[in-house]
Amino acid sequence: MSVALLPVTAAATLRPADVRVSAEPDSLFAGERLHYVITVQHDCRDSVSVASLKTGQGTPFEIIGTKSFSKKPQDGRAEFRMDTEIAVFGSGQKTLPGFTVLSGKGPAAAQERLDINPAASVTVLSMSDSTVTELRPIAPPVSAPLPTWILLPAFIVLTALGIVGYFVNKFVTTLRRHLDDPVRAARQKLRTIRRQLSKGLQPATGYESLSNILREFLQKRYQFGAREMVTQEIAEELAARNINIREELIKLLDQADLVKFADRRPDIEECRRSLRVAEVLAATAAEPGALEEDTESNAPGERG
Amino acid sequence: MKQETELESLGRQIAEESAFIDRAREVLATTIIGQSGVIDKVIIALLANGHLLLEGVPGLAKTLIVRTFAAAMNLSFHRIQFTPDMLPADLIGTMIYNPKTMEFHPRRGPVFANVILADEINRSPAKVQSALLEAMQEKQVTIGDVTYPLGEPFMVLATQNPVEHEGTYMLPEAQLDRFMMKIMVEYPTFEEELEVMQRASAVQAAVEIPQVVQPEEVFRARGLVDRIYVDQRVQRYIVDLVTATRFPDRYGLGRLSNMIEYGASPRASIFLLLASKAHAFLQRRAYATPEDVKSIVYDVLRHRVRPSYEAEAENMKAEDFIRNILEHVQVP
Repeated sequence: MSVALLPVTAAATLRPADVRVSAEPDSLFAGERLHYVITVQHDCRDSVSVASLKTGQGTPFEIIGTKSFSKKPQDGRAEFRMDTEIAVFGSGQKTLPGFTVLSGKGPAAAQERLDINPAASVTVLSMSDSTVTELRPIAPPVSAPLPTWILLPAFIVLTALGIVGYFVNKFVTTLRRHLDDPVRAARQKLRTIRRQLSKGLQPATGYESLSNILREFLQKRYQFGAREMVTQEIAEELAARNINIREELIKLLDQADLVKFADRRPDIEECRRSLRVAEVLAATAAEPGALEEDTESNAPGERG
Repeated sequence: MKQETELESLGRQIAEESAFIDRAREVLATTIIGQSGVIDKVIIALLANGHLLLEGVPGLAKTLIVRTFAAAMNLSFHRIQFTPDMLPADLIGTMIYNPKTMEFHPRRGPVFANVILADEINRSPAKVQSALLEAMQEKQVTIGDVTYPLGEPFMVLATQNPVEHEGTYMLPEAQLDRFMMKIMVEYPTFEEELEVMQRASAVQAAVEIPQVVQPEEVFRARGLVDRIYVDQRVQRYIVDLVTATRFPDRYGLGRLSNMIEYGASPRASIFLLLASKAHAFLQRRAYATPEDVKSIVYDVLRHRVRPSYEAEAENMKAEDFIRNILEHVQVP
């Protein structure tokens, strides 16, 4: 509650010290209501009223309702009280509205005027645009704080998901590397061709596949465009890189070239032999540690 | 005993009938230092019945190569210096009036020879170029009302100077297309040039070029070249390479799409196949491989692929496109 003693402005019989004002609360949100009480101590023979309360247009105050009371105690003095409910707008410090106290001996007598300008103020907190003009009968909602007990399980779940994701990612990467391993892929394809030979695949087709598999293997294993190179270019590239299995590889590619381009007709045993040699060469070219368990023996029915 | 297959038999015949190539090379080596690549391409063009466009700065022995080659092959040779004031009649011949007999009789022009060196072909206007190119295509010329077949073999080796452009008439693309290959004649190496200089500094009589090859040998070799086996895979590879110059995006070369004004014509595929077979013959093989194709693909395609303005702005040449295409088209 805020009580203010007011400075003197003027009056003969009525002194400023006789006038007291109070307002509560001393801070409020824009649109909320201020309880403004004006109390005037005066001679019991005088009649007192309050006029010209500076509210309405051009001020941050709007009168909602007013009640006036008068009390007459025994010592010849009387007390006039006016309770006013005022809606407050704007934002920041707002000086309480001024008013004029009228006093006189009777209705016929001339009235004295005492202008009061309170020095006290209220603090208006802005929740919204300061130009708001609508009333706020209800206090603003306060957002409830997030209960901390919810955060803990969420943190645990997220951590668990992160750990699982890490291991899944690691597993997928390892699996992909395993599947993309050129040595493993080449040997698997060569074995498949050997099996297909037993099921009636033409040796010439087998040689064509052998050539493609070896080129793909070289491209992935040694990172050069073997698929777009002729055998002679591959031989030069392998020689430049000093690959130890180059002679055997080129021999196989030359054989495949004869089948592909010179219409040579190899027999099935020769094709099997070449496929097996290619498989061994691919294994020889594996990076250290890349072979792991990939030492599958010949499948049944593909002896040669 | 294992029976000889058709290709093995052809291979044996090729080994026997290709002996003249070594003889020709030996003779050429006595006169020409280096330029073995150019000599091989000239032999390929002769075997594949094609014509060559030689491009190189002056002084690289272009004329000497052709003259020596013709002499060693026992072929008639004419050198024609193309000039701006030349007329088609200067090339193919014309009808001459004989006052004694009061009749016109034909005088054949220098185009009547087995090997023609059309020196600086781009110095003559289009009508002269057209007259020669028509002779190249049809293997015959018409003087007056009479059509005369040209000799066999008939081979044109035209030269262009890449440095000078002023006062020249660049060959239109349609005419360039008639040349089987465009050969870039490069400078000799240091050692080669040293030897050229030492030989040229000696005052001596002109070297007599022995005639080590008879035209019949060339005809027999051509017959064998025709029989060389080219598998479907190699043929498809050739068409792939040529198609890639027209539609690079189909071969993962989308960035070349706006770099190539237009690609090679179907004639490129034909010449690429013929030249590959001739190259296989030089290697004494009865079958062509992608290696043969790759060996001559630059020479066959470089004058058939035209770079766009964007490519020229980026200093990209036909050779750059061909290299890119070779790097992206899978070898069979």
